[in-house]
Amino acid sequence: MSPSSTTSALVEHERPSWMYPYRQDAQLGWRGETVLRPLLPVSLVNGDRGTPRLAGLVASGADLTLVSNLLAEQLGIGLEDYEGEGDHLAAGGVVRAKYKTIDLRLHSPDDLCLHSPDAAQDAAEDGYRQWRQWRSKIGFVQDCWPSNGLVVLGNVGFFDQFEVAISAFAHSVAVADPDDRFRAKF
Amino acid sequence: MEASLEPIRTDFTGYEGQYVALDWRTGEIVLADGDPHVVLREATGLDHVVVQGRVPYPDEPTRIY
Repeated sequence: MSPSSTTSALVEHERPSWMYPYRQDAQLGWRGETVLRPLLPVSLVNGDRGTPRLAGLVASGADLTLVSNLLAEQLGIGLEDYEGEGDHLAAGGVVRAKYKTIDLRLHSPDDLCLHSPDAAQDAAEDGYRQWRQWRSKIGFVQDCWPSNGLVVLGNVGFFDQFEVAISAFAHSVAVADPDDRFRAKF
Repeated sequence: MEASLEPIRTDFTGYEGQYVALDWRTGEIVLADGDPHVVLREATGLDHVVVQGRVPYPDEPTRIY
C-alpha cells in the first residue's frame, strides 16, 4: 500500500489541511520502546502577551482543553478571577481546573516565522497562514499537573473548532477548518 | 503537501527531571532547565522552538493518557 493511499483520508478536503507528523514522547513505553504521540505546536495569547509555542497533546478522550497554570504568569492573567472551576480526572490523577476564556493559536506546520509585516502581508496574499486562532474557555490546572506536557487539547477548546483526523498508522495528524461538506454530515 | 510524514524523534537521554524545548523541525533539544519558568521565558520569541514539557525519570509510571 502506498503512503499516499494510506493517508488519503487525512488530506481529502475542500480546504487545505495542515498535516503534522507524530513526535517522540519524552517517556519510553512499558516495553522500553519509543512512544510517538500526536503533538501540535500551539500557543496561548492574552492581548499583547503570549506563551512560546507549546507542544499540545491531541487527546480526543479529554472533555476539554487543559493547560498548566504555569502559563498564567506568562499571559499576565490572574487565576483568582476565574469563570468557574471543577475537578477532572486527567492523566491518571484528579486535577482541579480553573476556567478562563483565552485566545489559542495553532501554528502552521511549516512555521515560517514571518517577523516583518511586509513579509507577512505578502505571505497572506499568497494564501499562507502563520496560525489559526480561536477563543475558548479552557481549564488552568493548579498545583500538581500530572502530565509531562503543558497542554492537553480536548473536545472543548480544540476538537470543537476543527475537523481533526489522527492516524497512528500514518503517524500523522491533519487539521482543517470544517467546510460545508463536513458540516452537512452532521 | 506530502501525505506521508516521518515521525520526529528526539534523544531525551540525560535530561531526566528537566523541562525541555525543542527545535520543532529537527527534534533537537535546544533549551533545558529544572525550572519550567526559565524554559518558558527563554523560549519566548525563538523561531522554530517549542516547549515540549518535562522529561520523566525512567522509573516513573508509564503514562497512557
